[in-house]
Amino acid sequence: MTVCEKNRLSLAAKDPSLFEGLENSRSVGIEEAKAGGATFRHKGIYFHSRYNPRNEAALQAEEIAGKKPDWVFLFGLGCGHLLRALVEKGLEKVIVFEPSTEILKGALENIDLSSVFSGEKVFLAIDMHSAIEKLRSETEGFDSLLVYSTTPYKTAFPKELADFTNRIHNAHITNQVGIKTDMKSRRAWIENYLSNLKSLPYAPPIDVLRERFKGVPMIIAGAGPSLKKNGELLKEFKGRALIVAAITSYKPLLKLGVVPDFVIASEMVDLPEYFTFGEDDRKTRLILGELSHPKMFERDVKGKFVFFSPYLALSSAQAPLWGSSYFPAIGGSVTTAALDMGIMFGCNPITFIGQDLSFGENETHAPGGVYVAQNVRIDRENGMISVEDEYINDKQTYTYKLQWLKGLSGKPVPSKYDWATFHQWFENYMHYLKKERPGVRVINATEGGAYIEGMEHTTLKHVLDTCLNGEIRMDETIDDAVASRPRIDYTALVGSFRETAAVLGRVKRLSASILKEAAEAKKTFRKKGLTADLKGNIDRIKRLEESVFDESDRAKFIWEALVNNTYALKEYLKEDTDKSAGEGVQFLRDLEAVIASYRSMTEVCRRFGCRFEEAADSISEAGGGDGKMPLADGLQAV
Amino acid sequence: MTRVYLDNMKIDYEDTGKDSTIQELVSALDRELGSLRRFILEISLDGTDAPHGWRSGELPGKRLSECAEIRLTSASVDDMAKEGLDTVREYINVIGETIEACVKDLRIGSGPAAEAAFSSVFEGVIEVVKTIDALSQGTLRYNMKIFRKKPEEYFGPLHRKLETITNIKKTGDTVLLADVLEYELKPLLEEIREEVFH
Repeated sequence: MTVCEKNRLSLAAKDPSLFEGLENSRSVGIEEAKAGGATFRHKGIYFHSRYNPRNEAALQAEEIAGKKPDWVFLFGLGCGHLLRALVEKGLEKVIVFEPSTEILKGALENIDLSSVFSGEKVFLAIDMHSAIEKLRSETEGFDSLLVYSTTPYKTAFPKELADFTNRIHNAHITNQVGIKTDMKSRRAWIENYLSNLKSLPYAPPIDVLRERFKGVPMIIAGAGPSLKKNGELLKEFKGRALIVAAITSYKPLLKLGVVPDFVIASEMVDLPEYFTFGEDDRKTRLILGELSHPKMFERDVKGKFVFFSPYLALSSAQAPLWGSSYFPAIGGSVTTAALDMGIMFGCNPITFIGQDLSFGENETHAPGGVYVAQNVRIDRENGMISVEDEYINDKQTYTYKLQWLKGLSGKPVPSKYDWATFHQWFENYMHYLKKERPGVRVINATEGGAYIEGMEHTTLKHVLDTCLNGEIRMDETIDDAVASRPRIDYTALVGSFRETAAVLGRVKRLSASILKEAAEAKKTFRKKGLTADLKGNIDRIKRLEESVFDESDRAKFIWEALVNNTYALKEYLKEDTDKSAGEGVQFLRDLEAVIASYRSMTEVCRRFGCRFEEAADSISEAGGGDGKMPLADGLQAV
Repeated sequence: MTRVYLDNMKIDYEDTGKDSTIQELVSALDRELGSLRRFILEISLDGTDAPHGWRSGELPGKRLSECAEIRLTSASVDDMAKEGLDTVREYINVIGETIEACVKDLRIGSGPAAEAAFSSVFEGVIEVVKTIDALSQGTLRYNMKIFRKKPEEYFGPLHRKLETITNIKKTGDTVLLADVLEYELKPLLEEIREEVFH
């Protein structure tokens, strides 16, 4: 077997596309170093020592190990010396990105790295997108990541390295934001969903509009500062394109004389300030998440649609029972969800405006919305940005860590973590869209702010001149779609709630038993110390835990409701243990962690067990005990 | 009349025209001390010690009559040569350590630290060559054989190595720069230390 075949075999399981097109590529000339090992010259410089590349790599690995990262993002494979040295040093979670196919080819054809590549957590990426994907799938927001590059790579690929570092940084922030959102929102989402059960029969799932707007241009309006530049032009699109506004851009658009066809919102809190409570509200339709605040479903608008989130096990499992089979790809912002919906509607092209994802001259949002006055101050030296704004009549000041994104002009534009997260999502989404739906055009006509790779960038005027066809039969199309809404399976919904409530009851009893065993173990430890007498308790706790895991497999919802605890446990496991404190102290700490976890689990089971029984009863009773609820006009129950 | 002391002993001299310079005095004394394998090392004018390298400054052109007191200190050529050799040897060791630090910084990408260490190495090597050359010239005058091998033989290779290093530095090839420093310059300096000095 050749060296190349060995490498190919060890990498094939992780990414079979790695070798695609390599045979047609040129290769760097590999030289033998004086003390053995390979090196090469590229762009006029050596990438490894000509004398002893292994020693050189060992020195670099030592330096990296000193920083104790959970994951190393290595920019540049080279001849693989550093990757090998890292693995030998015990740093076995490495994602390598090689920016040059010439180097990659030279390395894979001449150096046997199969033993290193076969490491479970060693990945090789040849495009940045794959590297980011690996970050998303393999790392967590808790992990410490280190981006490392040797000097030759820094010298030969400075732009690529800067881009790589920025993307890794932003993707990691996305992971961290995900954890924060999880911890902050998940319980509220569950509560909202349960409260929204009464409204969902009146809000058809958004997928009733699937393929209803084939080839119709769509405009998605964000509330970025640039909206003031071209928003007025949107009047020309009315009736000729589907206009979807993020809720933040609804009022600014009204100010510009445009009533959007749809307003999309999925916030878990109520946002009455974003509505007019007048005639305009009744001319637009709302697209709401099933996790949105219940009051949002009470707004007096022309129509309401609901979309189900893929993130909540409970509602996503029940979505088909509500007649929905569509879970939009959501990047944290409603405009990201709107893009995915536009594709599902069949719209083409889809054009963004007001999607700056960055700060404007002295503002964060377009005028006319809820932000009355704004004052943005950038502190480049300390990498901070402070925003003073007047939200309705409330003055507030926020400070954010400054993030930089590539701007439309090529120069970096100041941004903040959540916008950087959305930006990441857009670029990632565009990457897939190009592969999966190459015929769909996505245009960024923001005319300011961040450059979004994969989108066409042009002016709204150009879109107006080149993309519009005739008038759309908007109301007719939507009414037809609503009338064809799939039936709601109330009986199955009742069954689903009752079954989950039963699982919660069993998990609650098991958790109570674990707490009892743990309390006894604690008592024994205090009396006798760390002795064999504890074995019985520990074994019983282990057996009970296995039963808890078996049961909760049938109600994944439990883990979502316990998300804060799960994260707290992960943090606990990552903590450096003080070995000098002795095994007894560690035992007690572990026991306390177990007690805290199962106390929370008992509380979740108790709380939601009742809520689910209530939900099942209300669905059942409202339908006269036959599991049916009163329906909106024109809808039919099973 | 100016009082002149040599190694704390007052000496007599003639300066009838009152226009003799310190240079003339020092040269005359050096000539006399030469037979004793000594030379004038330090000078102090009216209680102020002249700085190192005073012979090449303005001080030698000064008239004796401008000072009230001149104190001169002589030194043994042999002692000085030994001291010089020890200093050079020690300096080569220090350069070796600085090369190691510089190479490490280059290899791990600590640019500013590598730059600072690199300057020290470069200046250090030039200083070593200058000192060896001065020692060589000085001892030649006194027929002394303090070097095991002619140090001049190494001046060419050292010069070429520095030239190579300068050229590599211009290309930005830090790997090659680290290699030449670690595997070529450092061994050459070690060879000089081992082969040239007794």
